[in-house]
Amino acid sequence: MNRRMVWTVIGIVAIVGFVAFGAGAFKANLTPYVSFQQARATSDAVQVAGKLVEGSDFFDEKASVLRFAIQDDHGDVMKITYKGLKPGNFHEATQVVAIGRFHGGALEAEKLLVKCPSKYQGLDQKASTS
Amino acid sequence: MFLPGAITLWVAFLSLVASTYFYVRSLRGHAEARMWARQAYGLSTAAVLIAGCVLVYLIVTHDFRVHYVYSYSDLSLPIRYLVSTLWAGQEGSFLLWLMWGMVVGLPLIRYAQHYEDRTMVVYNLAQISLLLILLKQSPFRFIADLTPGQIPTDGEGLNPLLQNPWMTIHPPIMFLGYAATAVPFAFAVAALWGRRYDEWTKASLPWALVTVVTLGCAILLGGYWAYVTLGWGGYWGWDPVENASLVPWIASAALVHGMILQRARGRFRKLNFSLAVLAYVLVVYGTFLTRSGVLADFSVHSFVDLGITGWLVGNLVGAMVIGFGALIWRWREIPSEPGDEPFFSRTVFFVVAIAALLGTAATVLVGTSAPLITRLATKPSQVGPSFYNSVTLPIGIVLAALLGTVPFLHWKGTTKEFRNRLLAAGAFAAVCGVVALAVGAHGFLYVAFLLVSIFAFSSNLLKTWDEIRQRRFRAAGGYLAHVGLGLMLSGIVISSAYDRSQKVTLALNESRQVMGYTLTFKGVDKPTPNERQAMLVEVREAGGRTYVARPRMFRNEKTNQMVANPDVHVRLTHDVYVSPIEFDPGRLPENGDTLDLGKGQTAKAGPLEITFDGFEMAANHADTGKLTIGAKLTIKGAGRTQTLTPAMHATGPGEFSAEPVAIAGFDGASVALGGVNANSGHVHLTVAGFGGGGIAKRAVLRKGETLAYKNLSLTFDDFDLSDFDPEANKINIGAVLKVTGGAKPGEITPRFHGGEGGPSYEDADVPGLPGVKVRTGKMDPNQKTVEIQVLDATAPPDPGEPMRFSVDVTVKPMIGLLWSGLVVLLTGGIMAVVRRGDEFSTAVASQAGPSFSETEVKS
Repeated sequence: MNRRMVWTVIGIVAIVGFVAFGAGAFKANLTPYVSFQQARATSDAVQVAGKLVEGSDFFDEKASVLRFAIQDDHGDVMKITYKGLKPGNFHEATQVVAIGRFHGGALEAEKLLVKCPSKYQGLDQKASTS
Repeated sequence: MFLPGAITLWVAFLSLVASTYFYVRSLRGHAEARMWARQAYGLSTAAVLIAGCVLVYLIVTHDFRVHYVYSYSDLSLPIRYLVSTLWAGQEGSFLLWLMWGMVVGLPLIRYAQHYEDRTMVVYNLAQISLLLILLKQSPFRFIADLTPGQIPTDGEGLNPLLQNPWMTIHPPIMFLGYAATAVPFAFAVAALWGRRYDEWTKASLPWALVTVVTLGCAILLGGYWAYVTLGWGGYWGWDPVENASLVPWIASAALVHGMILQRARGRFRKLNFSLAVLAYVLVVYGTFLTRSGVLADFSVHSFVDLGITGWLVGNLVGAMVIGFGALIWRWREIPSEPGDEPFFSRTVFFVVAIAALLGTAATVLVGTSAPLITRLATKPSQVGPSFYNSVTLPIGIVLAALLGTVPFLHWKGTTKEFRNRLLAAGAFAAVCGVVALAVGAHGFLYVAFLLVSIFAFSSNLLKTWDEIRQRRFRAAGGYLAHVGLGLMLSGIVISSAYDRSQKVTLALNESRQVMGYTLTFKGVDKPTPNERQAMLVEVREAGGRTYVARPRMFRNEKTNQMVANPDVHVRLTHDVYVSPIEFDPGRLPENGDTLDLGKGQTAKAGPLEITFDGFEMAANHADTGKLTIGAKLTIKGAGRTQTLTPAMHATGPGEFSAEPVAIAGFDGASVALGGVNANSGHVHLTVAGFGGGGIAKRAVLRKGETLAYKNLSLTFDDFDLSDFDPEANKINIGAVLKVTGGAKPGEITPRFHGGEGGPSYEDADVPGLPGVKVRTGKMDPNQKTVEIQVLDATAPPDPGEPMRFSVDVTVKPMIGLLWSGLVVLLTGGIMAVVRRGDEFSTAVASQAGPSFSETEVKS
């Protein structure tokens, strides 16, 4: 084998190895959107969405977590704990998305996304009511 | 539609189409058409810039008929944020992008030489694609179906998070970078079209560098903004919006290196064509991802589908067809020159670096597109930050290792100082590594990344120094940029792998130990009613140095949104980052004596004798807007006399806050200034801590609901409106309560008397409990509720609740390296832009003959 061949082989091995590694990490980190029931049934990281149950949120100083509950369209309620900081527009959110694993009665969220009423929707409503 | 604005956009569009047409004519051999094409381009540029000015004018003059003005600005914005409203929304930022695109085209025409006709045809198409979006979704359109009477008097305002200096300059820099990616793309397609496969890289290298410098700067400005204002403690969250600009940046960095490689070695033409097309397609793809609403469920940013998704997809397909189509069309014609290079050569290292950069870009691209990819197979899902972190970490290590080695390689082998320079850089990295381990660095991959980053920094620093000593200042730019990159990578590793954080709740004036710092919450500072309130947290460091952190937490009145800003205290080796979590304003003690005193009057409260000596408004002199009223009191009791000055602060129009002042000698006793009667000069004091007379319990009751106190139950039966006649100015309302559970059940009716004499209360004695009275509090006629207050002279003292403030304290080691590295990187990058730009223009000047003249096009 000449040098060129050797490098080609090394290059291909490196690329294949990287793609395999990346694909593995991709699959491992994928968080599907699921219902609350499905979230309770699995230990994988999942993504759930619901409306914040008003007044349910408080900062638990002992555990150093934010605790709150969200409710889906069917009225099912899911407790959430979150180690990070409460997002700024948390209380105005139309929907809170939590990504994490269900453990010990609550979803331990690694990340929260907050969906806010969009300006455009608000405007449309205003236009239609006026 | 605001006509002047709409007309300028149409003029811009038509003249750009005309320009494109004349360039095609010029290509067909009508040499005179090129002049017209340039003029049409100039006209279009002017029209686009005027459109920008018109929109700014509409915003500044508050023309709320215009949907864009209404949605993103309001009357209260200062002028600098009004101007920045131009790029606060979707339509405006497309306009900004287009403005930059048109401006960038002017020097492009001047320097494109024999590529001009073809390049400008492609470049114009890129601008037209933006203009079409603006014509579809015009920033000048009025709010739909608005009659003259319905014109809003005020707008919805600019997102408070965007009212920040960093966010005002971030988009203009960002969109210059985006606009500049169209230049290498247009050149590449023109080169393929005209079969001139080499010189285009020289002409577009400065522009690719502009993209790298501006996008890099903008991305990190965005990160810095997030760090200092958002309060989640980081500068990078792998959010789709961030990734959408990161991927083109990495691709542009790969392109720059590919072009330098082609310049030096005369090879890798196909690579550069692919990279130039790819960089632009990635910009368009990123725009599609972030502006179409396809990722609406997966990002902290709310993306709204404006109904331009089809156009964005069309642009993407168009860019791909033109770019990759041209590439495939000419692929087999592009000359390629195979050749072997020794491994330790700049050539091989560049190729590996480009591959590693593309690997990073692909990783981020795939991760960001996860919802689209998974939609094909199952339900749309996204990947978390750990995907990006774990995959990019090994590539980062490889890249930093290459970065450190490459300065002492030349294109075909090693330089003579290769060994000793790398040994020196390696030794420095090793020493830093040992120090890092000694102070607690851990984790194999992190330490490895740190070592190679420091290695990259020091070896590039040595090379920069070598270049400067040899007076080759211009060549130093590239190395200097990499010095900055090494610093940034070191800062990123250290600050993200080794940060420590702890959450703590602080009561007012209480000290807590957090990670070696002593934190004391000193209250809320709101010097003027219009200023945003800041929480004062005194931080005493282990060495005894003290500073006052001022994190902010306030409600934006317009959007009613809680806004929290962290306090960042910068030290040489670390940042102390104090971020608000929750603020509880506390509660004044309720069962206390309330005293109403005029100046010089004395009254008893528990064992105390309190005299009101007069007002103190000393704080008023410093700042006219600051309103603080103090009441000077002399308090006698337990054999001592003390003077205290409880005060109240204006927190907003008609709103005041008061802090109780502790009374020495009595545990838990305090006095607070509850109110001031400006006419009579009386003060209203609340003395707490002695029990008696105050509210022992309170509850809001509907009809039929019950409040339990001790052994009794008080059930709200109905309002007594027998003496209620507002027209006769009789506002007397009673609340009939049934008392059960005690020895003497019965009915009591506490009353509220409104009307001319001012509000007063007629309390009702509770049968069976001597000394206990019931008072009516707030009544809500709509909800039919009443607040019932139980006053008990024998109740134990209620200390109230102090203000509480929960914060997240994070120590971020060495994060300053990231920002200072960025400054070095930008300095080096700008030097490189100037160098490559000069090289190109001198090449143009000296080669004014054969190879750059029109006659050669057919060769």
